[in-house]
Amino acid sequence: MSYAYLFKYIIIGDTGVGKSCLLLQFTDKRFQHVHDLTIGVEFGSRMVSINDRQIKLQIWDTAGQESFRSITRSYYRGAAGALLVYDITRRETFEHLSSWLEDARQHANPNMTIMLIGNKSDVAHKRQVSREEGEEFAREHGLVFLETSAKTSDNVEEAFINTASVICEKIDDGLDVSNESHGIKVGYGAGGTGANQGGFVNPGAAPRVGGGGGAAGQCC
Amino acid sequence: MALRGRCWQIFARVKERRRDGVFRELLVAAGESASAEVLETKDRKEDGDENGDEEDAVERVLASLVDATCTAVPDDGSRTAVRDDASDSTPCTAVSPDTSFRRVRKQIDKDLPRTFPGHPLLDGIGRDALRRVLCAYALHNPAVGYCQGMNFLAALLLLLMEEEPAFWCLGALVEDVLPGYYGNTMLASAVDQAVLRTFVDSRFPRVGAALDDAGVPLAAVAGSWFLTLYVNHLPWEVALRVWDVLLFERTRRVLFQTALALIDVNAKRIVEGGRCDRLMECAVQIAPAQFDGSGEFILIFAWAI
Repeated sequence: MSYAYLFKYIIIGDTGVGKSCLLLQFTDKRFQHVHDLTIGVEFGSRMVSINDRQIKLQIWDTAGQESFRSITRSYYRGAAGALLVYDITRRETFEHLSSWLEDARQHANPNMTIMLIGNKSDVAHKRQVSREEGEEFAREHGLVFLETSAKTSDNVEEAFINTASVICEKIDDGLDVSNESHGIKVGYGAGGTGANQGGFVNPGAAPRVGGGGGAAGQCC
Repeated sequence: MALRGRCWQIFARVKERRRDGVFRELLVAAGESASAEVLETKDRKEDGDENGDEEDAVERVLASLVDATCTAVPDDGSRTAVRDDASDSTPCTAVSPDTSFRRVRKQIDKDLPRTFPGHPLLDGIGRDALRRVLCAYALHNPAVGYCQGMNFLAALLLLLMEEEPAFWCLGALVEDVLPGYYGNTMLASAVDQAVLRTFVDSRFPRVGAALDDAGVPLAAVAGSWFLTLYVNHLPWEVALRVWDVLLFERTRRVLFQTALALIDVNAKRIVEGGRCDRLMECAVQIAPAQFDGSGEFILIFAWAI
């Protein structure tokens, strides 16, 4: 299928906050109460439509345990968007946000869009972090904020799609899509009907168009 | 207990590793009550059961086989590994539960339901056993403590043997076969992935180029193969065969062989996937989907490497 852009995402946050469940809900539209622990990284992808433009999201879901940090750091590079997730029912996962953010600032490209996610909004009776605190943290650090429930799917679409919208705006404002470290790739079929019409393409960039357009349909 | 479990204990030199009472003391230190099985182990040994003689004979033959071949297996260097700085300290058994253990314990509790969820033998009782083995090991080797991934190793061991031998086998895997894998920085795991990458580049350069084009580190595909010793990535029977060799040779060679075999079989698919930005979609499927229970195929490939 043709698409205008491919965005790379990374999902980060403490272990057990629901990173894999968010990904599964987004890619497969289902919730798995128990699933195997993520070791290293897992992967998912889905096509979304932003302003009538097809965007492919390629999502890296990482292991949250401290010892895996050095492994997951290598995935920050070349990510256009990050979902930084905490669990609203476990205060410590909120308190660790600064250290995650520090990691992201250090290893990601400075243009990476970060969405702060307070997950498990369906278990509000066990809440330990108020929505206001989440909003405040996001405002302070220049992040976009949402509370989600991977279980009920509340706000899950929005979390991924709003991040993509912000990235699209950045491209509109002239973010260099030819720079690979920005985590954006001009997609197949973008030449004729895609990006060029929407003004997404940076005039200075040299998008890779053509060649792949026809082949994409046959491949895989 | 399963013959395979007995073989693994011999391969892992459990008899030599085992120190009387240590496992039970660790359970006490961890605030766990020993299961009846642990308490009975000694008595049962003394009583001798019906199959005792026959089992001893099997054990003797296997042990002599191990002794005869352990010198024959050339040390290809994979037995030594980069150690985390932290794991250089000698494992000690005299740590009382403190804050850091409480944290470890909490993490283990969180991971128990996420270890082969739905497996009939990892119900309440099986899960308790898994918690005991992991907690005991975390206290036994505080430099490693508990690192995600070890839960899968311990769970598989518990499916084939009792708690105490599983504890010592886990030690053999973590300390002898995969040193530095589950430490603070998991440096040895990263090193092995880099080594695997050089093998891939020299044997399957098109796959290496496809990975580079897609900006995908090989570790994204193969990292968890090694960290879980394939238990989550290959059909059970195939994974067990990989473990047989791993424990018998006590080197990580078979992990590399299996990885290269998987990549070999799927090279075309990976390269074609890469051409249309679908490399990872293709790569994540290469381990489980392929074999349909007839795992001999991949093993034959692996031995040929």
